[in-house]
Amino acid sequence: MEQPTISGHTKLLGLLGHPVDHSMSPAMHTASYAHLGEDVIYLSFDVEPEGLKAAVDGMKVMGFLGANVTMPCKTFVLQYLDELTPAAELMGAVNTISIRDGKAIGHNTDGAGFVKNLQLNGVTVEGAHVTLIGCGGAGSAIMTQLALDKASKIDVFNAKDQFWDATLDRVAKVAEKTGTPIELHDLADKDDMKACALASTIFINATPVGMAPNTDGCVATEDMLHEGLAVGDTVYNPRETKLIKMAKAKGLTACGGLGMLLQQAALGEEFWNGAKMDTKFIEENFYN
Amino acid sequence: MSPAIHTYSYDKLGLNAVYAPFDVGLDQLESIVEGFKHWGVVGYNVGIPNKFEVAQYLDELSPVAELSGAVNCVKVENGRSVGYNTDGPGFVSNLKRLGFDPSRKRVTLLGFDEMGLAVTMALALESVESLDVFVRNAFIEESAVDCIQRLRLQEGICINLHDFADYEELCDCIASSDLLVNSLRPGSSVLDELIADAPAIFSDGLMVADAVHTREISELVEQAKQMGLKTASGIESLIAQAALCEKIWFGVEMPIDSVLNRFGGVLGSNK
Repeated sequence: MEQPTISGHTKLLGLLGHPVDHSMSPAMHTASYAHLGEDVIYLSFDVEPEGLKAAVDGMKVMGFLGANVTMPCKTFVLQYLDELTPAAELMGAVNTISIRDGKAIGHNTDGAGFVKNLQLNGVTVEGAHVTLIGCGGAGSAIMTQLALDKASKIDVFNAKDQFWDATLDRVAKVAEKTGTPIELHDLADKDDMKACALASTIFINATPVGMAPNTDGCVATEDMLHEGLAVGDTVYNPRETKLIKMAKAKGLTACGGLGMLLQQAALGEEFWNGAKMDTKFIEENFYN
Repeated sequence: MSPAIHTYSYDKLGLNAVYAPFDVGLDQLESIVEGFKHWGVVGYNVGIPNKFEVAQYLDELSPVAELSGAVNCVKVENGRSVGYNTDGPGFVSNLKRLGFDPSRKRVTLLGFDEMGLAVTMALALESVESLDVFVRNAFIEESAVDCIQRLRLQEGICINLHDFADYEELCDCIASSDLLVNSLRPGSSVLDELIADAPAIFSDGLMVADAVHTREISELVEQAKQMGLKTASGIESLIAQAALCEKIWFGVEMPIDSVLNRFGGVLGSNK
Protein backbone atom coordinates (compact mmCIF):
# COMPACT_ATOMS: atom_id res chain seq x y z
CA MET A 1 0.00 0.00 0.00
CA GLU A 2 1.20 3.51 -0.80
CA GLN A 3 2.30 5.70 2.11
CA PRO A 4 0.48 8.97 2.71
CA THR A 5 2.57 12.05 1.92
CA ILE A 6 2.72 14.74 4.59
CA SER A 7 3.57 18.19 3.33
CA GLY A 8 2.62 21.80 3.86
CA HIS A 9 -0.34 21.14 1.59
CA THR A 10 -1.79 18.07 3.31
CA LYS A 11 -5.50 18.41 4.01
CA LEU A 12 -7.18 16.93 7.04
CA LEU A 13 -10.38 14.90 7.40
CA GLY A 14 -11.72 13.99 10.83
CA LEU A 15 -14.02 11.50 12.53
CA LEU A 16 -16.06 13.20 15.24
CA GLY A 17 -17.81 11.12 17.90
CA HIS A 18 -17.35 9.25 21.15
CA PRO A 19 -15.75 6.77 21.32
CA VAL A 20 -13.73 6.79 18.10
CA ASP A 21 -10.55 5.01 19.13
CA HIS A 22 -11.47 1.69 17.51
CA SER A 23 -12.56 3.13 14.19
CA MET A 24 -11.14 1.75 10.95
CA SER A 25 -12.01 4.94 9.06
CA PRO A 26 -8.69 6.75 9.64
CA ALA A 27 -6.62 3.90 8.24
CA MET A 28 -9.05 3.20 5.42
CA HIS A 29 -9.59 6.73 4.11
CA THR A 30 -5.94 7.70 4.54
CA ALA A 31 -4.90 4.62 2.55
CA SER A 32 -7.56 5.36 -0.05
CA TYR A 33 -6.33 8.89 -0.66
CA ALA A 34 -2.69 7.76 -0.69
CA HIS A 35 -3.64 5.15 -3.30
CA LEU A 36 -5.27 7.91 -5.36
CA GLY A 37 -2.12 10.01 -4.97
CA GLU A 38 -4.01 12.73 -3.11
CA ASP A 39 -2.54 14.73 -0.24
CA VAL A 40 -5.28 14.00 2.34
CA ILE A 41 -5.14 12.26 5.71
CA TYR A 42 -7.95 11.25 8.07
CA LEU A 43 -7.78 11.16 11.89
CA SER A 44 -10.09 10.35 14.82
CA PHE A 45 -11.17 13.12 17.20
CA ASP A 46 -12.98 12.14 20.39
CA VAL A 47 -15.68 14.83 20.63
CA GLU A 48 -18.86 14.78 22.71
CA PRO A 49 -22.01 16.80 21.95
CA GLU A 50 -20.91 19.69 24.20
CA GLY A 51 -17.72 20.09 22.16
CA LEU A 52 -19.30 20.05 18.71
CA LYS A 53 -19.66 23.80 18.23
CA ALA A 54 -15.98 24.35 18.93
CA ALA A 55 -15.05 21.37 16.74
CA VAL A 56 -17.05 22.57 13.73
CA ASP A 57 -15.83 26.16 14.14
CA GLY A 58 -12.29 24.83 14.51
CA MET A 59 -12.54 22.75 11.33
CA LYS A 60 -13.67 25.82 9.41
CA VAL A 61 -10.96 28.08 10.76
CA MET A 62 -8.25 25.45 10.32
CA GLY A 63 -9.27 24.59 6.78
CA PHE A 64 -10.22 20.96 7.25
CA LEU A 65 -11.49 19.25 4.11
CA GLY A 66 -14.36 17.71 6.04
CA ALA A 67 -15.37 15.06 8.51
CA ASN A 68 -17.49 12.05 9.33
CA VAL A 69 -19.76 12.25 12.34
CA THR A 70 -20.69 9.15 14.33
CA MET A 71 -22.61 8.44 17.53
CA PRO A 72 -23.60 10.14 19.63
CA CYS A 73 -23.10 13.38 17.70
CA LYS A 74 -25.06 12.90 14.50
CA THR A 75 -28.17 14.79 15.56
CA PHE A 76 -26.49 17.35 17.81
CA VAL A 77 -24.15 18.57 15.06
CA LEU A 78 -26.91 19.87 12.76
CA GLN A 79 -27.39 23.15 14.59
CA TYR A 80 -23.73 24.11 14.09
CA LEU A 81 -23.66 23.64 10.32
CA ASP A 82 -24.29 26.26 7.64
CA GLU A 83 -26.16 24.12 5.15
CA LEU A 84 -27.80 20.68 4.95
CA THR A 85 -28.34 18.45 1.92
CA PRO A 86 -31.89 17.12 1.42
CA ALA A 87 -30.89 13.73 2.87
CA ALA A 88 -29.42 15.30 6.02
CA GLU A 89 -32.43 17.59 6.46
CA LEU A 90 -34.93 14.80 6.06
CA MET A 91 -33.06 12.35 8.29
CA GLY A 92 -32.39 14.98 10.94
CA ALA A 93 -28.90 13.53 11.26
CA VAL A 94 -25.51 14.19 9.66
CA ASN A 95 -22.76 11.62 9.18
CA THR A 96 -20.61 13.55 6.67
CA ILE A 97 -19.47 17.19 6.66
CA SER A 98 -17.75 19.02 3.82
CA ILE A 99 -16.01 22.35 4.43
CA ARG A 100 -16.29 24.53 1.32
CA ASP A 101 -15.38 28.22 1.18
CA GLY A 102 -15.41 28.38 4.96
CA LYS A 103 -18.89 26.87 5.21
CA ALA A 104 -19.80 23.55 6.80
CA ILE A 105 -22.24 21.51 4.74
CA GLY A 106 -23.89 18.52 6.33
CA HIS A 107 -24.85 15.37 4.47
CA ASN A 108 -26.08 11.89 5.33
CA THR A 109 -24.88 8.80 3.46
CA ASP A 110 -26.26 6.20 5.88
CA GLY A 111 -28.93 5.18 3.38
CA ALA A 112 -27.18 6.34 0.20
CA GLY A 113 -24.35 3.80 0.40
CA PHE A 114 -26.82 0.92 0.46
CA VAL A 115 -28.93 2.29 -2.38
CA LYS A 116 -25.88 3.15 -4.52
CA ASN A 117 -24.66 -0.42 -4.12
CA LEU A 118 -27.99 -1.76 -5.38
CA GLN A 119 -27.79 0.53 -8.41
CA LEU A 120 -24.20 -0.50 -9.19
CA ASN A 121 -25.44 -4.08 -9.23
CA GLY A 122 -27.95 -3.24 -11.92
CA VAL A 123 -30.98 -2.73 -9.68
CA THR A 124 -33.36 0.06 -10.70
CA VAL A 125 -34.55 2.05 -7.70
CA GLU A 126 -36.50 4.84 -9.39
CA GLY A 127 -40.08 3.69 -9.81
CA ALA A 128 -39.44 0.49 -7.86
CA HIS A 129 -41.80 -1.06 -5.33
CA VAL A 130 -39.67 -1.95 -2.30
CA THR A 131 -40.30 -4.20 0.70
CA LEU A 132 -38.03 -3.09 3.55
CA ILE A 133 -37.71 -5.12 6.73
CA GLY A 134 -36.68 -3.05 9.75
CA CYS A 135 -37.12 0.63 10.52
CA GLY A 136 -34.36 1.11 13.07
CA GLY A 137 -31.22 3.19 12.48
CA ALA A 138 -30.23 1.51 9.21
CA GLY A 139 -33.76 0.88 8.01
CA SER A 140 -35.07 4.38 8.47
CA ALA A 141 -32.01 5.81 6.68
CA ILE A 142 -32.51 3.42 3.75
CA MET A 143 -36.23 4.17 3.68
CA THR A 144 -35.51 7.90 3.49
CA GLN A 145 -32.93 7.47 0.73
CA LEU A 146 -35.22 5.20 -1.32
CA ALA A 147 -37.94 7.83 -1.06
CA LEU A 148 -35.51 10.59 -2.10
CA ASP A 149 -34.43 8.41 -5.04
CA LYS A 150 -38.06 8.16 -6.14
CA ALA A 151 -39.05 4.59 -5.39
CA SER A 152 -42.72 4.23 -6.36
CA LYS A 153 -43.84 2.57 -3.11
CA ILE A 154 -42.15 1.38 0.08
CA ASP A 155 -43.69 -1.21 2.43
CA VAL A 156 -41.75 -1.10 5.68
CA PHE A 157 -42.02 -3.85 8.29
CA ASN A 158 -41.17 -3.22 11.92
CA ALA A 159 -41.85 -4.82 15.30
CA LYS A 160 -45.04 -3.43 16.84
CA ASP A 161 -43.28 -2.21 19.97
CA GLN A 162 -43.67 0.84 22.18
CA PHE A 163 -42.02 2.96 19.52
CA TRP A 164 -44.65 2.04 16.90
CA ASP A 165 -46.51 5.36 17.04
CA ALA A 166 -43.29 7.35 16.85
CA THR A 167 -42.21 5.18 13.91
CA LEU A 168 -45.57 5.82 12.21
CA ASP A 169 -44.98 9.55 12.61
CA ARG A 170 -41.52 9.28 11.10
CA VAL A 171 -42.79 7.25 8.14
CA ALA A 172 -45.59 9.75 7.54
CA LYS A 173 -43.17 12.66 7.65
CA VAL A 174 -40.80 11.13 5.08
CA ALA A 175 -43.71 10.13 2.83
CA GLU A 176 -45.14 13.61 2.96
CA LYS A 177 -41.85 15.40 2.32
CA THR A 178 -40.88 13.19 -0.63
CA GLY A 179 -44.28 12.39 -2.11
CA THR A 180 -43.46 8.67 -1.99
CA PRO A 181 -46.19 6.39 -0.58
CA ILE A 182 -44.75 4.57 2.44
CA GLU A 183 -46.72 2.15 4.57
CA LEU A 184 -45.72 0.67 7.92
CA HIS A 185 -46.59 -2.97 8.62
CA ASP A 186 -46.32 -5.31 11.59
CA LEU A 187 -43.22 -7.48 11.30
CA ALA A 188 -45.12 -10.38 12.85
CA ASP A 189 -47.55 -10.61 9.94
CA LYS A 190 -45.71 -12.97 7.62
CA ASP A 191 -48.64 -13.31 5.20
CA ASP A 192 -48.62 -9.55 4.77
CA MET A 193 -44.85 -9.63 4.25
CA LYS A 194 -45.20 -12.31 1.59
CA ALA A 195 -47.91 -10.35 -0.23
CA CYS A 196 -45.72 -7.23 -0.26
CA ALA A 197 -42.62 -9.15 -1.34
CA LEU A 198 -44.47 -10.75 -4.24
CA ALA A 199 -45.60 -7.31 -5.43
CA SER A 200 -42.07 -5.84 -5.08
CA THR A 201 -38.97 -5.69 -7.26
CA ILE A 202 -36.64 -5.06 -4.31
CA PHE A 203 -36.54 -6.82 -0.90
CA ILE A 204 -34.23 -5.47 1.82
CA ASN A 205 -33.30 -6.75 5.28
CA ALA A 206 -32.31 -3.89 7.56
CA THR A 207 -32.49 -5.85 10.81
CA PRO A 208 -29.67 -7.72 12.59
CA VAL A 209 -31.35 -11.05 11.76
CA GLY A 210 -28.81 -13.30 10.09
CA MET A 211 -25.83 -11.60 11.74
CA ALA A 212 -23.16 -13.80 13.32
CA PRO A 213 -23.36 -15.75 15.55
CA ASN A 214 -27.04 -16.34 14.73
CA THR A 215 -26.42 -17.09 11.06
CA ASP A 216 -29.45 -19.38 10.73
CA GLY A 217 -31.79 -16.43 11.05
CA CYS A 218 -33.58 -15.03 8.03
CA VAL A 219 -36.46 -12.56 7.83
CA ALA A 220 -37.73 -14.00 4.53
CA THR A 221 -39.09 -17.39 3.55
CA GLU A 222 -38.17 -18.91 0.20
CA ASP A 223 -41.60 -18.36 -1.28
CA MET A 224 -41.13 -14.59 -0.91
CA LEU A 225 -38.09 -14.58 -3.20
CA HIS A 226 -39.79 -14.62 -6.59
CA GLU A 227 -38.29 -14.19 -10.04
CA GLY A 228 -37.47 -10.58 -10.81
CA LEU A 229 -36.83 -9.70 -7.16
CA ALA A 230 -33.52 -8.09 -6.22
CA VAL A 231 -32.44 -8.78 -2.64
CA GLY A 232 -30.33 -6.60 -0.33
CA ASP A 233 -29.01 -7.20 3.18
CA THR A 234 -27.41 -4.65 5.52
CA VAL A 235 -25.65 -7.43 7.45
CA TYR A 236 -21.98 -7.82 6.42
CA ASN A 237 -20.93 -10.45 8.91
CA PRO A 238 -21.09 -13.09 7.56
CA ARG A 239 -20.35 -11.81 4.06
CA GLU A 240 -23.16 -13.98 2.75
CA THR A 241 -26.13 -14.22 5.08
CA LYS A 242 -28.75 -16.93 4.81
CA LEU A 243 -30.96 -14.43 2.97
CA ILE A 244 -28.27 -13.64 0.39
CA LYS A 245 -27.47 -17.33 -0.09
CA MET A 246 -31.16 -18.14 -0.61
CA ALA A 247 -31.50 -15.34 -3.16
CA LYS A 248 -28.38 -16.38 -5.07
CA ALA A 249 -29.52 -20.00 -5.14
CA LYS A 250 -32.61 -18.79 -6.99
CA GLY A 251 -30.52 -16.82 -9.47
CA LEU A 252 -31.63 -13.44 -8.11
CA THR A 253 -29.45 -10.32 -7.83
CA ALA A 254 -28.26 -10.31 -4.21
CA CYS A 255 -26.29 -7.51 -2.50
CA GLY A 256 -24.77 -8.03 0.95
CA GLY A 257 -23.83 -5.45 3.55
CA LEU A 258 -20.18 -5.13 2.58
CA GLY A 259 -21.11 -3.34 -0.63
CA MET A 260 -23.10 -0.85 1.44
CA LEU A 261 -20.06 -0.10 3.63
CA LEU A 262 -17.74 0.36 0.66
CA GLN A 263 -20.14 2.62 -1.21
CA GLN A 264 -20.77 4.68 1.91
CA ALA A 265 -17.05 5.33 2.21
CA ALA A 266 -16.82 6.11 -1.52
CA LEU A 267 -19.70 8.58 -1.32
CA GLY A 268 -17.92 10.33 1.55
CA GLU A 269 -14.76 10.84 -0.49
CA GLU A 270 -16.82 12.05 -3.42
CA PHE A 271 -18.64 14.54 -1.18
CA TRP A 272 -15.42 15.87 0.35
CA ASN A 273 -13.46 16.53 -2.84
CA GLY A 274 -14.89 14.61 -5.75
CA ALA A 275 -12.41 11.76 -5.26
CA LYS A 276 -13.27 8.45 -6.90
CA MET A 277 -12.39 5.81 -4.31
CA ASP A 278 -11.04 2.47 -5.60
CA THR A 279 -13.50 0.18 -3.80
CA LYS A 280 -11.75 -3.01 -4.91
CA PHE A 281 -8.49 -1.77 -3.37
CA ILE A 282 -10.27 -0.92 -0.12
CA GLU A 283 -12.12 -4.23 -0.04
CA GLU A 284 -8.88 -6.20 -0.53
CA ASN A 285 -6.91 -4.28 2.08
CA PHE A 286 -9.51 -3.65 4.78
CA TYR A 287 -12.30 -6.16 4.47
CA ASN A 288 -10.59 -9.49 3.89
CA MET B 1 -29.04 16.67 50.83
CA SER B 2 -27.88 19.14 48.18
CA PRO B 3 -27.59 22.15 50.49
CA ALA B 4 -25.43 20.16 52.91
CA ILE B 5 -23.23 18.78 50.13
CA HIS B 6 -22.61 22.10 48.43
CA THR B 7 -22.12 23.98 51.69
CA TYR B 8 -19.52 21.41 52.79
CA SER B 9 -17.78 21.60 49.42
CA TYR B 10 -17.68 25.42 49.32
CA ASP B 11 -16.21 25.40 52.81
CA LYS B 12 -13.50 22.94 51.78
CA LEU B 13 -12.73 25.01 48.68
CA GLY B 14 -12.70 28.27 50.59
CA LEU B 15 -15.37 29.51 48.22
CA ASN B 16 -17.36 32.53 49.40
CA ALA B 17 -20.72 31.12 48.37
CA VAL B 18 -23.96 29.91 49.92
CA TYR B 19 -26.44 27.29 48.73
CA ALA B 20 -30.00 27.63 49.99
CA PRO B 21 -33.24 25.73 49.24
CA PHE B 22 -36.34 27.48 47.88
CA ASP B 23 -39.78 25.86 47.82
CA VAL B 24 -41.05 26.87 44.40
CA GLY B 25 -44.26 25.68 42.76
CA LEU B 26 -44.91 25.49 39.02
CA ASP B 27 -46.93 28.72 39.10
CA GLN B 28 -44.01 30.67 40.57
CA LEU B 29 -41.37 29.25 38.29
CA GLU B 30 -41.39 31.91 35.59
CA SER B 31 -41.05 34.82 38.00
CA ILE B 32 -38.32 33.10 40.01
CA VAL B 33 -36.27 32.45 36.86
CA GLU B 34 -36.66 36.10 35.87
CA GLY B 35 -35.85 37.29 39.38
CA PHE B 36 -32.69 35.18 39.67
CA LYS B 37 -31.34 36.91 36.55
CA HIS B 38 -31.33 40.24 38.35
CA TRP B 39 -30.23 39.37 41.89
CA GLY B 40 -26.62 38.35 41.21
CA VAL B 41 -27.34 34.66 41.75
CA VAL B 42 -24.63 32.50 40.15
CA GLY B 43 -26.94 29.63 39.45
CA TYR B 44 -29.40 27.18 40.92
CA ASN B 45 -30.61 23.60 40.90
CA VAL B 46 -34.10 22.62 39.82
CA GLY B 47 -35.94 19.65 41.28
CA ILE B 48 -39.06 17.71 40.41
CA PRO B 49 -41.62 18.74 39.24
CA ASN B 50 -39.96 21.85 37.88
CA LYS B 51 -37.23 20.10 35.87
CA PHE B 52 -39.42 19.70 32.79
CA GLU B 53 -41.18 23.05 33.03
CA VAL B 54 -38.25 25.36 33.60
CA ALA B 55 -36.63 24.97 30.15
CA GLN B 56 -39.14 27.25 28.43
CA TYR B 57 -38.18 30.19 30.68
CA LEU B 58 -34.44 29.95 30.05
CA ASP B 59 -32.38 31.75 27.41
CA GLU B 60 -30.29 28.79 26.30
CA LEU B 61 -30.08 25.02 26.81
CA SER B 62 -27.09 22.71 26.64
CA PRO B 63 -27.35 19.98 23.97
CA VAL B 64 -28.23 17.34 26.57
CA ALA B 65 -30.85 19.52 28.30
CA GLU B 66 -32.40 20.30 24.93
CA LEU B 67 -32.70 16.64 23.99
CA SER B 68 -34.20 15.42 27.25
CA GLY B 69 -36.30 18.49 27.94
CA ALA B 70 -35.22 18.27 31.57
CA VAL B 71 -33.07 20.90 33.29
CA ASN B 72 -31.71 20.36 36.80
CA CYS B 73 -28.94 22.96 36.79
CA VAL B 74 -29.04 26.59 35.65
CA LYS B 75 -26.15 29.00 35.31
CA VAL B 76 -26.84 32.74 35.37
CA GLU B 77 -24.30 34.87 33.54
CA ASN B 78 -24.54 38.39 32.08
CA GLY B 79 -28.28 38.45 32.61
CA ARG B 80 -28.81 35.16 30.77
CA SER B 81 -29.95 31.80 32.14
CA VAL B 82 -28.42 28.69 30.60
CA GLY B 83 -29.94 25.30 31.43
CA TYR B 84 -27.98 22.07 31.84
CA ASN B 85 -28.73 18.52 32.86
CA THR B 86 -26.16 17.05 35.22
CA ASP B 87 -28.25 14.12 36.53
CA GLY B 88 -27.27 11.72 33.76
CA PRO B 89 -23.69 12.96 33.32
CA GLY B 90 -23.24 12.79 37.10
CA PHE B 91 -24.29 9.15 37.12
CA VAL B 92 -21.84 8.36 34.33
CA SER B 93 -18.97 10.34 35.81
CA ASN B 94 -19.39 8.36 39.03
CA LEU B 95 -19.18 5.09 37.10
CA LYS B 96 -15.97 6.28 35.45
CA ARG B 97 -14.54 7.35 38.80
CA LEU B 98 -15.12 3.78 39.94
CA GLY B 99 -13.23 2.45 36.93
CA PHE B 100 -16.17 1.56 34.67
CA ASP B 101 -16.35 3.05 31.15
CA PRO B 102 -19.84 2.58 29.64
CA SER B 103 -18.67 2.85 26.00
CA ARG B 104 -19.33 -0.33 24.04
CA LYS B 105 -20.81 -2.01 27.12
CA ARG B 106 -24.11 -3.90 27.42
CA VAL B 107 -26.46 -2.33 29.95
CA THR B 108 -29.76 -3.35 31.55
CA LEU B 109 -31.85 -0.64 33.22
CA LEU B 110 -34.65 -1.35 35.69
CA GLY B 111 -37.42 1.21 35.92
CA PHE B 112 -37.81 4.60 34.29
CA ASP B 113 -39.21 7.00 36.92
CA GLU B 114 -37.18 10.02 38.00
CA MET B 115 -33.70 9.19 36.80
CA GLY B 116 -34.65 6.77 34.01
CA LEU B 117 -34.51 9.16 31.06
CA ALA B 118 -31.47 11.00 32.36
CA VAL B 119 -29.52 7.77 32.80
CA THR B 120 -30.71 6.39 29.45
CA MET B 121 -29.54 9.53 27.67
CA ALA B 122 -26.24 9.75 29.47
CA LEU B 123 -25.43 6.11 28.69
CA ALA B 124 -26.55 6.55 25.07
CA LEU B 125 -24.22 9.54 24.78
CA GLU B 126 -21.36 7.29 25.82
CA SER B 127 -22.31 5.02 22.91
CA VAL B 128 -23.12 1.92 24.90
CA GLU B 129 -23.30 -1.28 22.86
CA SER B 130 -26.90 -1.86 23.92
CA LEU B 131 -29.34 -0.65 26.53
CA ASP B 132 -32.26 -2.88 27.55
CA VAL B 133 -34.81 -0.94 29.59
CA PHE B 134 -37.38 -2.84 31.65
CA VAL B 135 -40.52 -1.02 32.79
CA ARG B 136 -44.01 -1.83 34.01
CA ASN B 137 -46.48 -2.51 31.20
CA ALA B 138 -43.75 -1.48 28.75
CA PHE B 139 -44.79 2.10 29.38
CA ILE B 140 -42.71 5.24 29.34
CA GLU B 141 -43.80 8.86 28.93
CA GLU B 142 -44.38 10.10 25.40
CA SER B 143 -41.82 12.86 25.77
CA ALA B 144 -39.26 10.20 26.65
CA VAL B 145 -40.29 8.11 23.63
CA ASP B 146 -39.41 10.95 21.25
CA CYS B 147 -36.03 11.44 22.85
CA ILE B 148 -35.26 7.72 22.78
CA GLN B 149 -36.45 7.36 19.16
CA ARG B 150 -34.01 10.06 18.12
CA LEU B 151 -31.19 8.21 19.83
CA ARG B 152 -32.26 4.93 18.24
CA LEU B 153 -33.07 5.96 14.69
CA GLN B 154 -30.82 8.93 14.06
CA GLU B 155 -27.82 8.21 16.27
CA GLY B 156 -28.12 4.46 15.69
CA ILE B 157 -27.88 3.55 19.38
CA CYS B 158 -29.37 0.18 20.33
CA ILE B 159 -32.08 0.83 22.94
CA ASN B 160 -34.75 -1.79 23.57
CA LEU B 161 -37.83 -1.48 25.72
CA HIS B 162 -39.19 -4.48 27.64
CA ASP B 163 -41.86 -5.33 30.17
CA PHE B 164 -41.07 -6.54 33.69
CA ALA B 165 -43.57 -9.32 33.03
CA ASP B 166 -40.96 -10.90 30.73
CA TYR B 167 -38.98 -12.12 33.72
CA GLU B 168 -37.02 -14.69 31.71
CA GLU B 169 -36.00 -12.03 29.23
CA LEU B 170 -34.97 -9.80 32.14
CA CYS B 171 -32.75 -12.56 33.50
CA ASP B 172 -31.25 -13.21 30.05
CA CYS B 173 -30.45 -9.53 29.57
CA ILE B 174 -28.83 -9.24 33.00
CA ALA B 175 -26.85 -12.43 32.47
CA SER B 176 -25.28 -10.97 29.32
CA SER B 177 -24.86 -7.40 30.68
CA ASP B 178 -21.78 -5.55 31.86
CA LEU B 179 -23.84 -3.06 33.89
CA LEU B 180 -27.16 -3.32 35.73
CA VAL B 181 -28.76 -0.01 36.70
CA ASN B 182 -31.52 0.14 39.28
CA SER B 183 -33.91 3.07 38.91
CA LEU B 184 -36.77 1.44 40.83
CA ARG B 185 -38.24 2.61 44.10
CA PRO B 186 -37.47 0.42 47.08
CA GLY B 187 -39.99 -2.29 47.90
CA SER B 188 -40.62 -3.30 44.29
CA SER B 189 -41.54 -6.98 44.09
CA VAL B 190 -39.48 -7.53 40.96
CA LEU B 191 -36.40 -6.58 42.97
CA ASP B 192 -37.16 -9.28 45.52
CA GLU B 193 -37.26 -11.91 42.77
CA LEU B 194 -34.05 -10.63 41.21
CA ILE B 195 -32.22 -10.60 44.52
CA ALA B 196 -33.18 -14.23 45.05
CA ASP B 197 -31.98 -15.16 41.55
CA ALA B 198 -28.89 -12.95 41.64
CA PRO B 199 -26.34 -15.69 42.32
CA ALA B 200 -27.50 -17.43 39.15
CA ILE B 201 -27.74 -14.46 36.81
CA PHE B 202 -25.18 -11.91 38.01
CA SER B 203 -21.96 -12.67 36.18
CA ASP B 204 -18.56 -12.11 37.80
CA GLY B 205 -17.84 -8.98 35.80
CA LEU B 206 -21.21 -7.34 36.35
CA MET B 207 -21.37 -3.87 37.87
CA VAL B 208 -24.58 -2.96 39.71
CA ALA B 209 -25.52 0.69 40.20
CA ASP B 210 -28.31 2.58 41.94
CA ALA B 211 -29.51 5.55 39.92
CA VAL B 212 -31.90 7.29 42.32
CA HIS B 213 -30.33 9.86 44.65
CA THR B 214 -31.08 8.29 48.03
CA ARG B 215 -28.93 7.99 51.08
CA GLU B 216 -29.52 4.26 51.49
CA ILE B 217 -28.24 1.74 49.01
CA SER B 218 -30.82 -0.61 47.55
CA GLU B 219 -31.03 -4.26 48.53
CA LEU B 220 -30.06 -5.10 44.97
CA VAL B 221 -26.77 -3.25 45.29
CA GLU B 222 -26.31 -4.73 48.76
CA GLN B 223 -26.73 -8.21 47.26
CA ALA B 224 -24.18 -7.39 44.56
CA LYS B 225 -21.73 -6.13 47.18
CA GLN B 226 -22.10 -9.38 49.09
CA MET B 227 -21.29 -11.26 45.91
CA GLY B 228 -18.08 -9.22 45.62
CA LEU B 229 -19.23 -7.33 42.52
CA LYS B 230 -18.45 -3.71 41.64
CA THR B 231 -21.23 -1.36 42.75
CA ALA B 232 -22.18 2.32 42.62
CA SER B 233 -24.57 4.06 45.02
CA GLY B 234 -27.17 6.78 44.59
CA ILE B 235 -25.44 9.13 47.01
CA GLU B 236 -22.20 8.87 45.00
CA SER B 237 -24.19 9.74 41.88
CA LEU B 238 -25.74 12.72 43.64
CA ILE B 239 -22.32 13.97 44.73
CA ALA B 240 -20.91 13.51 41.21
CA GLN B 241 -23.88 15.46 39.85
CA ALA B 242 -23.25 18.21 42.42
CA ALA B 243 -19.59 18.34 41.38
CA LEU B 244 -20.60 18.91 37.76
CA CYS B 245 -22.89 21.74 38.86
CA GLU B 246 -20.08 23.43 40.79
CA LYS B 247 -17.87 23.13 37.70
CA ILE B 248 -20.57 24.84 35.65
CA TRP B 249 -21.27 27.59 38.20
CA PHE B 250 -17.79 28.38 39.51
CA GLY B 251 -15.35 26.48 37.29
CA VAL B 252 -14.12 24.67 40.43
CA GLU B 253 -13.23 21.03 41.04
CA MET B 254 -15.20 19.74 44.00
CA PRO B 255 -13.00 17.74 46.42
CA ILE B 256 -15.06 14.63 45.70
CA ASP B 257 -13.18 12.27 47.99
CA SER B 258 -13.69 14.62 50.94
CA VAL B 259 -17.35 14.98 50.19
CA LEU B 260 -17.79 11.24 49.72
CA ASN B 261 -16.05 10.62 53.02
CA ARG B 262 -18.35 13.05 54.77
CA PHE B 263 -21.59 11.85 53.14
CA GLY B 264 -21.02 8.13 52.86
CA GLY B 265 -19.77 7.11 49.46
CA VAL B 266 -17.04 4.71 48.38
CA LEU B 267 -13.64 6.21 47.62
CA GLY B 268 -11.78 5.36 44.44
CA SER B 269 -12.16 2.01 42.75
CA ASN B 270 -13.94 -0.68 44.70
CA LYS B 271 -12.37 -4.11 44.30
